[in-house]
Amino acid sequence: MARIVGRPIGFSLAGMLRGRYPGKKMMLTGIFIILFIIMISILAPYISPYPPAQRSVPISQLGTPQPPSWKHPMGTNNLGYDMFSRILYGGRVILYVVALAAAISLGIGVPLGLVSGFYAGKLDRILSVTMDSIYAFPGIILAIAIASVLGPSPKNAAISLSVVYIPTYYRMVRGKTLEIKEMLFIEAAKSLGLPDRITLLRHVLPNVAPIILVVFGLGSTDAILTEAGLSFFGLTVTYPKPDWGLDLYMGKDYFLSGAWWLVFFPGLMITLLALGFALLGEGLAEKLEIRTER
Amino acid sequence: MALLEIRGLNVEYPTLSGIVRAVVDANLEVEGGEWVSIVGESGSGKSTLAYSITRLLPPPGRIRSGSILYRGVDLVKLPERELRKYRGPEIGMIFQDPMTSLDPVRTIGDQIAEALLEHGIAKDKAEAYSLAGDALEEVGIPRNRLKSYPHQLSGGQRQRVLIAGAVALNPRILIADEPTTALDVVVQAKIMDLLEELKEKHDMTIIFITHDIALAAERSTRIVVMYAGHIMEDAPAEQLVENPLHPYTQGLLNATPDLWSDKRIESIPGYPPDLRRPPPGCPFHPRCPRAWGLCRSEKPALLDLNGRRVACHLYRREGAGR
Repeated sequence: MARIVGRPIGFSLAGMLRGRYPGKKMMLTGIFIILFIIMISILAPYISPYPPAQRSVPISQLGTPQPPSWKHPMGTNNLGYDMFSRILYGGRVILYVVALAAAISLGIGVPLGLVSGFYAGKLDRILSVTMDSIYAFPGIILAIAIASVLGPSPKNAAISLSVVYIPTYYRMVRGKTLEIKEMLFIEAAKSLGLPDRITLLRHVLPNVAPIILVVFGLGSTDAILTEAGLSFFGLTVTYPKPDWGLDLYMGKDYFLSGAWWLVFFPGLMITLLALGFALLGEGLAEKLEIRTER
Repeated sequence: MALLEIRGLNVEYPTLSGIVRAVVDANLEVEGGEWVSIVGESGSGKSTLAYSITRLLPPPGRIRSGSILYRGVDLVKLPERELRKYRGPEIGMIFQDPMTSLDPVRTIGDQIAEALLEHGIAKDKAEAYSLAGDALEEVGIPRNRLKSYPHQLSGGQRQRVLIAGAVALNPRILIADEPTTALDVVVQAKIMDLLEELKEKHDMTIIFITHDIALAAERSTRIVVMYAGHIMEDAPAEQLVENPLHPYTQGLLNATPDLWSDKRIESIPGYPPDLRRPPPGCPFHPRCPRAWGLCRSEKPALLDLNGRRVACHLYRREGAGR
């Protein structure tokens, strides 16, 4: 019988940068974009030329958004706030909300998917129906509904996003678990007298893990757009806190009178962040040879 | 008392189109130190019988009635938690397909060591790995392979790793479900040698499941022939091959190629019955060249004939039955 050689499955930073594999460019570009946005959000207090919510123009210019200039590279808004500074600060809320939402969705969706797929039976049926009915709702509508019931705050926005994205994690993990548990090595683990807890954690989970990464990438893409929607409707923070979604909302009234910079830059940043996660997710999917349907 | 006593075992798979009776009223005793081979075609219930011993039936399989006594303890009634202590250290198993029986994302050392830790055979990780290394060496794989992943090994090596994992727990019974079917003949012979060697060394009893009666005849002390969920014949290996009593066993042996004779291979006409609707009487009668009236109406009991058993009405006439 032919000897099959190959490298162990797993991730190493060095291997990721050095090796050649499909999806590498996409993945690295995605990671670069995400890291870049995280960086500017952290460093905002040190690099922003003006405070984000303070008048930075003479009183005479109040009420009229000023176009980009050397002093204000992204222009100012009607209140005289410097848009460049607001853009630098504006990623903080969205990153926080999406990170918290991803953590909650992972923490709930993954264990439920594992248990549901592994044990099947009644619990599985109940969970599947529940998750599928949540999944069937348009994400943004559901998120808005929940967030408005809970009240506007970043934490509540994260909770409502989690409700929307738990089913995504659940469905993918459950599906993969159903596939893995039919594998003979699970049977072999049982035949060695290993309890289900160990079989699940040490044999099923590691085999399901790659798909969790992909769902994280692609799910977060969606979550970013939904979060921007929540912010747009004022369901995360209140003005004058800097936030891309909220600035988009505040800028929309001036857009028609020619102040394109008030919507262009916040919109660009939201798109860029979503793109970063999409590239990460698709790149991972390609590397791990997981087919995605969206 | 026998090491393993299966009494009146009925196993079934409920399906949408009816209940498949995979094992019907099976009675079987296995003594310590035996190598019992269970032989039969696909779907004869041989694997189902073996898997029900440790209750690892694939869903929706279930044991409907009967008992399986292992050293006096009924495994059928044991709660799952208790049963787990028997799986591995008392009754080990190895499987048909060594390619998929190992977890692809864990090293083979991890996989052997974790069971040793779970059953308290090793006190800590270091000891578990050292024992796992010993186990690998015992099956002829260098211990530096502990850190290898399954895809770095060949099929034969993987089967050795599986055997090492099972034997490391020092089971009294090793159930081998067609462990050589997926391997080529040369590797197959080596695995069989290994099993025999380990059996002697560890004083194990082997229950060997196979469709290959010639392979079974080579090493077994006893062969049990199953057909359509029924035990048809049970005899010491030599007697069974030299003098098969059941027409089905005779058919099986006639269908086995023999390199050293110019005997014609004869297949058994017809197909095994649909187990959802088994034929009345003897399950083999529609294919049996020697079937007579009673075969069509009455199910033959497993008769004791000086140290061997056969379920066939032909022998009832001779007055050997009860």
